[in-house]
Amino acid sequence: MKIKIKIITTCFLCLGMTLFFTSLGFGANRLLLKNARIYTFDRGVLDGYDLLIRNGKIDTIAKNIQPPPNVPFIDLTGKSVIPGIIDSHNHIALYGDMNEGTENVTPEVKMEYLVDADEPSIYYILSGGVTMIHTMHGSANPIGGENVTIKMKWGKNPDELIETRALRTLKMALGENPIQKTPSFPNTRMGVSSVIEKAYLDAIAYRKLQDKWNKASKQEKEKMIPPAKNYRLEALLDTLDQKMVIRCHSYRADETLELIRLSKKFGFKVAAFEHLHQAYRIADQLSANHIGISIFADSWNYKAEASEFTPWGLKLLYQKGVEISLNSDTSEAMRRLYTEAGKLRRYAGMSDLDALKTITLNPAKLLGMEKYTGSIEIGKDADLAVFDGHPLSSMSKCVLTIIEGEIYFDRSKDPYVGVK
Amino acid sequence: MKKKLKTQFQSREEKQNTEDSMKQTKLMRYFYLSVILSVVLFSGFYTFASPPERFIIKNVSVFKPDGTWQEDSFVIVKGCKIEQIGRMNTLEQTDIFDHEYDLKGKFLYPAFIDAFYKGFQVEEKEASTPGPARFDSQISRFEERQASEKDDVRAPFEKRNYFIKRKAVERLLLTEAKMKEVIEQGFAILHIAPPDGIYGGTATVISMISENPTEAVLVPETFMTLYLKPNQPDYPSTFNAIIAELQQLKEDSTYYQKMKRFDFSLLDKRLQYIPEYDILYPYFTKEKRFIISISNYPEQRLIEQLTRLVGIDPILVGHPEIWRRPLAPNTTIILPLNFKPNDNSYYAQFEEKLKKEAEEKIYPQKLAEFLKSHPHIAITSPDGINHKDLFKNLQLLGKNGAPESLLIAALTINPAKILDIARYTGSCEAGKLANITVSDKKITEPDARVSMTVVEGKVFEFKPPADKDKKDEKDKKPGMRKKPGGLQ
Amino acid sequence: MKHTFILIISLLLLACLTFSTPNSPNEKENGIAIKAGKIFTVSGNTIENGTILVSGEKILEVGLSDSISIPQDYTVYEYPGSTVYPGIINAMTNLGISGISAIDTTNDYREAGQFNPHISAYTAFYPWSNLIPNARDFGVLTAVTAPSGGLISGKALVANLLGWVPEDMFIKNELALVMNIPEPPSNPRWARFQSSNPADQKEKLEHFISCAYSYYLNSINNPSFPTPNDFDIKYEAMKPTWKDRLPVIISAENEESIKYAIQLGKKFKLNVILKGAYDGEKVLKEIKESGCPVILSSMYGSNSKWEDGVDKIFRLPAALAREGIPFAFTTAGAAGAFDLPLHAGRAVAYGLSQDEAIKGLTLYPAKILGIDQYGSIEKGKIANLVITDGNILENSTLVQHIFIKGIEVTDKSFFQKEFNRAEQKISGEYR
Repeated sequence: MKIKIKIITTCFLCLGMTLFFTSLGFGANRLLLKNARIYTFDRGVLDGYDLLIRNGKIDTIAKNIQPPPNVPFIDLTGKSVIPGIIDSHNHIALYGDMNEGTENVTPEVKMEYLVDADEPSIYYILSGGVTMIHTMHGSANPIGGENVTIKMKWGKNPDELIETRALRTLKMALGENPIQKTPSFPNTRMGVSSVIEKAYLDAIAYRKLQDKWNKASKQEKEKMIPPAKNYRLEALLDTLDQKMVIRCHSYRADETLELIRLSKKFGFKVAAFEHLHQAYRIADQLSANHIGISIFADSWNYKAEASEFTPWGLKLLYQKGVEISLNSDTSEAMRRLYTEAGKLRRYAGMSDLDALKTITLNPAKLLGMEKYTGSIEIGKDADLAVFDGHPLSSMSKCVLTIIEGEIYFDRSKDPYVGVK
Repeated sequence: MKKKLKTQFQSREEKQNTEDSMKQTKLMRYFYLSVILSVVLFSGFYTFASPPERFIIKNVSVFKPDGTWQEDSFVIVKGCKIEQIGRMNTLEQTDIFDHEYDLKGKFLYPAFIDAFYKGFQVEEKEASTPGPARFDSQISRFEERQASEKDDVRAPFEKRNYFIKRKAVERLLLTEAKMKEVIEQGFAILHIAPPDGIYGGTATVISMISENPTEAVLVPETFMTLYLKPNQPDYPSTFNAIIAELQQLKEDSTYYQKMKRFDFSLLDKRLQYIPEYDILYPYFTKEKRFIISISNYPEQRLIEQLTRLVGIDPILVGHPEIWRRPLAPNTTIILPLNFKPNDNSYYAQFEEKLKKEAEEKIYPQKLAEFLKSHPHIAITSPDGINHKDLFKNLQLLGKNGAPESLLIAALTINPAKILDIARYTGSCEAGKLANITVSDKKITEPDARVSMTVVEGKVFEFKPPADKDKKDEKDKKPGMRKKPGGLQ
Repeated sequence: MKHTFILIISLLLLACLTFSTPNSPNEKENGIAIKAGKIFTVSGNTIENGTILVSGEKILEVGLSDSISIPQDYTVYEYPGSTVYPGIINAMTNLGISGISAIDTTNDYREAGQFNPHISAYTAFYPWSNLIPNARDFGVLTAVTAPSGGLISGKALVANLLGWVPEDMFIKNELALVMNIPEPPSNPRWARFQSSNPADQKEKLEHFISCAYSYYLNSINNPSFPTPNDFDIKYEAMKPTWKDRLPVIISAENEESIKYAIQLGKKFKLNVILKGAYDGEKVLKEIKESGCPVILSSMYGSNSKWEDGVDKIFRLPAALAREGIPFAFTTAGAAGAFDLPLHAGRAVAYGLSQDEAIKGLTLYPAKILGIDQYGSIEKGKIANLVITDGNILENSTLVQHIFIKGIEVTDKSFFQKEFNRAEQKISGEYR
């Protein structure tokens, strides 16, 4: 009896101790950031606040948080903390060619198989405060492949980078790039539109066959030809079933309107148009259809279709409520995405926080990740970037990048950086 | 008239004489014939009935199947098999041999087996033009497509480097000079894999016994090769498209099998013959295996995804960074022993000094550890053609902690098991094929040199470079069983 | 007597009338005065609540508003909350000789061949390029337009970004010779894509320059030189390099190339301006000794080797400033030429002071390019002025007014016109 009591008490004690220590936050990814200027979207800019991270998530934002024992803390006096920057259009961290342009419709290829976590550009963009990217198929064909969202966890293996919580997205491309396959079809924008139309008609016919087969009885099946599985058309059907959204590369307003017409005709959802230099001409239509844009702030004139553009057009888009996300398309521009966002203050008359949203919350929404990241709110992933000055100014630089509570870039500890 | 009569009415005597003389010549003929025949038969009998050549290698250290050495031993070879292995002190002094080789101080191994060799085949021009000529070939392909009035026509399999129908066994080209090179490095059996294309074709196993392919082939068809070399300008031109297409090929070939047995009355027209589907189908039912060549970490991950999606169990031909990603211990791996970081490897992306460190320290260390955790790996040459660097790297592995027994197993019994020839070769045991390599030092030591290779009983001796003029094959005694058309 | 008196007075009156003929409408008799909340003179102190007096093209005076009296007939511009900067100088672009990057027929900055000293940007300058007013919109009022490519690309020009025909715009139509040192690609993995051997190319370059030098020496020593046989248009074009000390802008990125460029300058007595100098940090002493200034590459770049560190190119301006080596900021190309102030801003994040950054946009390029009448707000300099609502190094700052050579530029740029059209949904011809 005594032995039994002893055993039971020891068990309870052990359980109690475990619970106690766990409550203290013994686990991975704990960090306390002290005395920073924190940019939140729901509570505004909080000066001199502390931020506690637990289990990789934002736990508390308050003044003078008592540091729990054994939690490392960093003094960020004079520094600003913003949500980790999200770049929703680029082609880095992919092994080999990301452009399957040999056929017009290739939605069966997936970028998630090509993720290359060793690429140095991941580290370079961490030094610019970028924590998550949407890396994409190229724009060589009208319907490209499936893209992938990855977090910039430098040093981890590729499977740990892939964000499974993000929306599945399919790349489409309009304009000059898909028509460069002269003399093969398509050679014109008309052809591009018909390629997309035909692809969806094929997919719908395939579904009809499958439905017919599935609904048939056993005897009927004996007299039918079973449909062959086609991965390409299955991927297209996923977009019709709202399991995957479209991210479409386009520059001109007319081809964009044409794709909006096709999307309504067949029922697939376009989440955003990429680049879309002429977005300012169709601000009404974009906002009426709840389609966002993922653009450069003012990089232009490198192609004929990019030669009609004005950065002041962002004002029109902002006024009409179109959700603007900024992207870079290259690792070099990704490092200064925060300065590009800062320019929106003069182009569109945005406030600091709204300009910040274009590189944080808005791209997160496009990827379906706004519940998990994109802003500094309690319960969200601790994806943060720390700047040594105003986070939108060219004259600041990123000094610390944190993803899910782990520090992946620390300027003071980088062995090759000249200015710490 | 008169003359005719005369001959007709020749005297009987004369006739009798001629008859007699004719009888005599006939007899003589029969006699000579019988003598010749008996001699021939006798010698023939002697030839056919003569026992196979028997020779002994004495005073050597023998590498046993359990991975240990047996010193001061002898090996008796009879014909093409190993007859007996034993200690010198158990040797019967009265035993007679056709040859005796006293190789005191030398080390005897099973002859090496190269599990992935890309030579000895007819060279074929590439089906599609690679590299900078992209636009030219692209235009002609696209003109083809335009002419067909369809928006997207996929080229036939061969044009897209899918050499599924190809078989290495039908394209063998064995040259004496190259075979000598291979045998000089101690290799007796090679797994010949088609070197190019995305799907290169089916590989084959050959022995270095003969230049004649029909005699050399041990296993005519083994595995189908798959290289991650995307096409330009045809589909697939990216790595992930190769995966997607293999998935689709699995569906298509399975469907094809189904349709072959389908009720024709329901079809519009008869099924077109697509040999590739027939050939590939057993690969998807796991009856046959792919052998997939990967050259870096991202490709390794790609193949992992492929095996999961398509449900196959391939043999991996690896790369020096194979240890960076966890692999199940029972994965079949062939490792080209190469320590140079290629452009896409992790260690080539950062500082220059890291690249050097990788080649000299990191790869040998990590691969030695990897070998210990995956003891069934087969090791092969760095580039698939030349074996010289292989031994240098092997010695480096040994220095970094890889046990000798594992290294030798990786060159002998492990490849034998992978190629399914372990029941008759791959180790020095009585009853197995006499494939033997003797070197003057242990091959894991620097400057080790192969001094003798025996391929199925045929001996090749190699003198050190100073005595090169004396180096030649041993003469064969008359009356020995000869293999027609073999190496002389 | 009286008659003589009346005659003299009438003569005097007549003289007065003659000399007080009304001015032609084209002559600007009246000057302008600009009053602003802050004036960055750059060469002197920053003035709070100051006034600038401009007459004709030149600045007459600049000082505290309290201490400057504005003449009666001057037009006064009052910008109480604004800041005035000298017009920004973009030290290397291809504005005017480039159009749309992907369309070759719109681009004139890269001629065929390796040695083209006889090719001059001013012969192909397009003043109506819509990229020029765009650059003005953000304060870039003066720019160098340079050809590129090959070993000797051609001759660059420097122009004000306002004018109807090219001559109206040029400050110097042959500013400098542009030269490029051949070097292996920074990333050794790309070495196999390089078509020719850098060592061979260097030899060819040196040989060319030495031939040109002896041609020049011949031409000054020998009165009958060049005969029709000896005449070589390329060597003729090289003569100003020695005759007029025409600067040579030499692009050199790695350590070896920079040292080679300096050595080349010494050997052939060239007036060298270094361009790029990616590895400049490693050879600061050599650059300082040589006296060569540095025209920086665009600050929108990346490091090429892992060991260089992520902030390699951003550290360079501060390092040069510490050593007292003059430097100038540039953008790459033409479509991004307007973004220049933010390039300077980026360098501020990595150790450059804001004052030095503004100097790198104004005073230093003027000094380096030999256009000393520009680059600061002081008496006697040309009145190129930018009026902003804040710090020009900030990306939230708007440029409100610009003055080029004393005239306010009110022409709308393509960017602005396109916005108005879209706002009012006006379709039709847009260019």
